[in-house]
Amino acid sequence: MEKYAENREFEPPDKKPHNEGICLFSDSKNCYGDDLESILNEITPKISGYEETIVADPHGEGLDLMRDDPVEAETTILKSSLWLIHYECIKEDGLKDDFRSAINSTPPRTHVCILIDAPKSEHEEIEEDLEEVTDSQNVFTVKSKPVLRNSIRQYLDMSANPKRGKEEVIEWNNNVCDLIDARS
Amino acid sequence: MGTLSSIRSTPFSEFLIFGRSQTKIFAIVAGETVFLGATFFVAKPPFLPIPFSDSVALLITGLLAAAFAATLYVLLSGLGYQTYSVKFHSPVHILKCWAAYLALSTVVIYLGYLLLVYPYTRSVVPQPVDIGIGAVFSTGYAISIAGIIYGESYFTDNTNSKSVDIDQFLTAAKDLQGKPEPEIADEPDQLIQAGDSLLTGLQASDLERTEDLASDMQDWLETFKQRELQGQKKMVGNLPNSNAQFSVWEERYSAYQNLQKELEQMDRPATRRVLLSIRGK
Repeated sequence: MEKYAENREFEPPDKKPHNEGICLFSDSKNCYGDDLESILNEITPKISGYEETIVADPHGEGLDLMRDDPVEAETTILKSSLWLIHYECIKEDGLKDDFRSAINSTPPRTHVCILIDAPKSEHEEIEEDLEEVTDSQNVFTVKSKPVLRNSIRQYLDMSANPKRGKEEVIEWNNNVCDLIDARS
Repeated sequence: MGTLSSIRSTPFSEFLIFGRSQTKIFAIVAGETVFLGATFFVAKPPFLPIPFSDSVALLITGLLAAAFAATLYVLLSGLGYQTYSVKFHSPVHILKCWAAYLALSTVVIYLGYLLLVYPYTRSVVPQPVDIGIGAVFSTGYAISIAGIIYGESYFTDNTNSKSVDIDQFLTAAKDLQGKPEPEIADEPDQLIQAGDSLLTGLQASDLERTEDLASDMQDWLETFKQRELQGQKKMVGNLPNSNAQFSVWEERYSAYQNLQKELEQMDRPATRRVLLSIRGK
């Protein structure tokens, strides 16, 4: 990952688009019964300037990295600005503190969605259990596929898209580079 | 049956021109034919004095023709190696080209026989010694044409860089896959540079399958250029073992593997593949 110049243009053919990493933390790539890739395939054609100013790629190894070495994992997962965390990963793997620490390390504008796909009757209990992790401003809980689809679309189209505001994207990218440099 | 039908479905000229300009090859063949004809016309009488018995002459011409035929195969293998077509690196396809060259040269030499020797012998079927001499001339004539095309391409085309580009492309991909991120410096740029150069060669070639390979290379390379290091590493095979591994990376890696396979085949001339198969490798 390289720092962007302050005046960087993302348009082709000279510069490559902003790479938007979507990091999934789950034992499966399914989200609400659908493959995350197919959800992305539905969304990306509707994103302004897709493949010109922005491309989005899903990375599914987030949970494995956290299980291996949560501190080391941050140098990889921080490069993605959209995190999708299945709630069970936080609850059942004893990674709550590690996730909290990782989320607190993210620069502003990194968007963290905690996916809850349990029966509605359990939502309250789960949210209470995750309170320590979700108290950060950039953490949102998602409880259905339409909400997930809208969240991803809105994030990719509006927040992470240089076409809508390249200064924020450049700032986020350079912040992450600084964070990673500081750890090495 | 399969080989015969494939020969029938391919234009004869494709076995001769190796993707070069048809006009250029026609000029070379015509020039060589005129040269050969002129050589015979100035010779008097129009047959060669043979200071051996017929059986010795047959043995010598047979050995010479066999040596020339082998040289022709090596030369055609070199011509195929200069191309960006995997097919022209196949020993079997080079064998077909070899047969096509020999067929063409035999026809030309036989026409020369009819024109220059027949008036004296009055026999359309050459004598055994004439056949031996004709075989030497045929293979020699075929070698001269293939040699001129090879030399002309060697000094004028950019095909000499193909092997260097393939090596650079595959080495950069291997390093990119194996090295940890902090150790990676200019491997992605090296890969892109070699890939672009190979793409230019593939796009300039109008041989069979090169268009498809160019299209595959272009698609893969465009995607690679757009990715950050994390994605680029996955595209050349650094795929973490995870239940949530996304198929998009597997597909991109699979596309790379196909490219790698074709490039590796394209980096071995037919003669080398023949030698390797003889050695059982």
